[in-house]
Amino acid sequence: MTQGTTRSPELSYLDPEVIARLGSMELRAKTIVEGFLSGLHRSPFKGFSVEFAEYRQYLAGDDLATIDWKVYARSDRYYVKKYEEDTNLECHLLLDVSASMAYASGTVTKLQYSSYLAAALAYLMYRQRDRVGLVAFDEKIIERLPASARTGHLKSVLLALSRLSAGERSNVSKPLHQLADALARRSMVILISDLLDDPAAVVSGLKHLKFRGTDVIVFHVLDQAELHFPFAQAARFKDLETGSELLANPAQIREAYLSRLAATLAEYEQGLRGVGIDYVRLDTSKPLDSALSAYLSAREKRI
Amino acid sequence: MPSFLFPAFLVGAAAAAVPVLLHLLRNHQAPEIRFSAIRLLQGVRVEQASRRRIHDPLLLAVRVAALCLLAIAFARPYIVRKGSAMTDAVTIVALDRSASMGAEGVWPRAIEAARRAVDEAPRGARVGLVAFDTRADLVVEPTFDRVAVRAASDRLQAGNGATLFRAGIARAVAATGDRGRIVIVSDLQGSAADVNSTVPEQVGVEVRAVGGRWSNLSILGVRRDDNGLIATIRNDADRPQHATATASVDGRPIDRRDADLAPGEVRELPFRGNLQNGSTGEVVLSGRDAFAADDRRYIALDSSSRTRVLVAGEHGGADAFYMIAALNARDGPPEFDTEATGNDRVAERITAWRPDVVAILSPRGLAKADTDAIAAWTERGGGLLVAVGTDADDNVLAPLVGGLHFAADQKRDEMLSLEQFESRHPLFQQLGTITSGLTSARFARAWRIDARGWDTIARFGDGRGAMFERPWGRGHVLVFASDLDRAWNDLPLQPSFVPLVQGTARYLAADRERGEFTPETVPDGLPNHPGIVQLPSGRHAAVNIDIRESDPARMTAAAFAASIRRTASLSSTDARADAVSREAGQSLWRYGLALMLVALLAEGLLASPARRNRRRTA
Repeated sequence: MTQGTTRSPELSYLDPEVIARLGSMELRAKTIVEGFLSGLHRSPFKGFSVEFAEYRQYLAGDDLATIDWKVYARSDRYYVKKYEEDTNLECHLLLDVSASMAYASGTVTKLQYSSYLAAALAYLMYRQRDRVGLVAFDEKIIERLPASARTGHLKSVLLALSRLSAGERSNVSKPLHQLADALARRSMVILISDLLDDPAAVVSGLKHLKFRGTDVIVFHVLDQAELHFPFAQAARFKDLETGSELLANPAQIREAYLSRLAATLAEYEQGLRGVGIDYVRLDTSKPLDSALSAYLSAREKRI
Repeated sequence: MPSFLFPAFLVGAAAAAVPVLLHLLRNHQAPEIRFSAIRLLQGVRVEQASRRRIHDPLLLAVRVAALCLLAIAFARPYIVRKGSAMTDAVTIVALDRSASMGAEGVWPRAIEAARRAVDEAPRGARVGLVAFDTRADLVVEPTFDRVAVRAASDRLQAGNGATLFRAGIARAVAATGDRGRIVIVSDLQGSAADVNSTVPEQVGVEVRAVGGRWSNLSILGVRRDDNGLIATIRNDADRPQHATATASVDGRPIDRRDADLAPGEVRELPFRGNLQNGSTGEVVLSGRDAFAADDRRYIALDSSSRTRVLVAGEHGGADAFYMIAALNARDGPPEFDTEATGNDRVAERITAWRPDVVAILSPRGLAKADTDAIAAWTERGGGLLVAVGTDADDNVLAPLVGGLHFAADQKRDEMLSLEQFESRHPLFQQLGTITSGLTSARFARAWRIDARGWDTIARFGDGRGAMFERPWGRGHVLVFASDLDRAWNDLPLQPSFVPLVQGTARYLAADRERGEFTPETVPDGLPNHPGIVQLPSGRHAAVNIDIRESDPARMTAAAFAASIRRTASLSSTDARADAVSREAGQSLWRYGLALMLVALLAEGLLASPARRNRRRTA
């Protein structure tokens, strides 16, 4: 599936600040997904609907009976229908709720952004008849909802997401190892975290999942200030998780910070992609469409 | 002890502490930013809150030192050496060698005291010797050879001169270099007013009195009248004394008188004889007393018999009524020839009449030519009295009383009275106990006179000067701060007025035509001991000791020391000038600037990038 090359007005609904103003997590999730898909609808992929299981582009070797000729008539492109019984995917949303996720340089914290994303993904999965579960964690598992596709489960997931608040210190690798041992069926794990933890430990935990046959998508959520370190005035930087203070002049430490950040991001990217884990870096000031596109792309490859 | 010409600049040194204080007080001043990615800065070389410290104390110290040195250099430092009386480097023994030191038993005590002062000087101190009367001589410069100083003191003798403490003390202080101590050995003759000296506070002063009991008969003066000679005798003992005096003319006795004098009594003894001009006379007291030098007095008989006094005023005789009457008030042959004249004729009368004394009672009518003529006459040896009441004009009187400034008196509720007299002045010596009678006079007004360069010989009760004197060429001038014609005071009504006027005229005419000298004033080349000398003109003159040496008054050592003014009494101008002079001589500010430059060079080296890099990697 390819995405449209132009951004349509509906994608403004994917702006996190716009999403934040919506009343409920269900509404947010629906708005994000519908807005995203509406944008796709304006693309050359007219008539594409997810009311069926799903559509995917025709690949050589597919059964010609599965081609949706109405879509072809409209778009001159070959798409085949997939029915929900063909997917039967179990997805687990792993959401980092450690204290560092409460950081925001703007109006939307990383936790809020991650919650919106998780809600949108849950909604999208539910629409695809996938089973979706939720694990919220900091240094331990805070909330856990097992994967399910039954009626009302989405509401439970969205309600749980709306009630989440920042917790204690980070320990990303611990729930990963716990999940790796618990996941019995073929499943997908979507980790949404700022990954402000030991990269080696995190990658090790994700590798554990991958090696158990689980597909893993990592959404690395960072705030714009964390990405660019825009501070100018000397200040006492206080860590959100440990409380330690650092009295520094930003001009003197910016270079070192960005260098270390780049090294950390590179370590994650290389370590994860090297083992076939999808790694998507997200900026909380940017719309959520890229995240959703990445999911769908990964989902598509999975199938 | 360091001191500074401009201490206000030292405030700049305090400014060097400001950046240090700001650095140390920077804690809790920076805003707090809650951030999530501090872990990415772990290990980065930044200043941790718990490790706030000065990273390069040596560089900071050098910079602070440079600032401080600059401020100190601007403040212009100098060193004041402060010695103490007990730990000084120089001891000067100032030995009084005036005529009174020749009194019985006094000089041996003085020599013994001087030797003791030399021996008792602090170990390691240099010792010097000054001898003084009216003149002070540095007999031995400060030296470690105390034997030489003792030997020099042994060779000294009491002289014929009068006592001028100011000369001896000033010379001794100068010999210390303003750092040390002086030991004054003297009979301490006179009163506190005679000390009239200032000593820097860093110079110690010790006084050793060597005077003894003074039981003395003295001849205060000899003068001539138409019948012979008149000698003034005084009994300085505290008991009645019998005086036997013999008068001689040209070496031949002419008369002898005996008298019994009460304690402190002053009496005139007449000696009859036929005196010729050109003769020389002598009066001698018989017997032995404490002070032999004043038992003999000489007189040269070349001068005329009566003193001529010209009294000048605006209205001539009307202004001079009281003064003329006082001069002529006498039982027996008159002592004075008097004349009253208007100011417009005073110059003419001086030329024509050739008075011995001129008294100016008013400046009105005096032209510049008149004052110039009077001043020239005074310089040639005349005795001038200025006693103006109203209309004293500095501009008119300046040629006569240069250096004096008359200021009008404020309207006062209380009368003034004469209270203080310089007891050793010949005028008041002559008056004796009569001086105390002058205190009865009441003064409604008197001039406030700024008398720099003049000697104040009498004061009013409020401390202002009443009578002033100073030499003027070969003559001298007396100034009275009020009038003598009963306009501002009732002095002419007092019994002491006549003796005062006559004594003043007598004093002003004492060495007229230079018929009499003291050993200090005798012309160079002539013997300066008491006796008769022949002047180059062929005339004879008498040399007599200063009658102040007959003064029985003695101070205690404590009173003498207390009357010495210490440096604190110096005017701020003098102290400032002294400070400027010291600083200019030391120029310590140059060294301060040089050190500052060195500090800046060091700062440049310490702050160099190469050194900083080495510190970072260390």
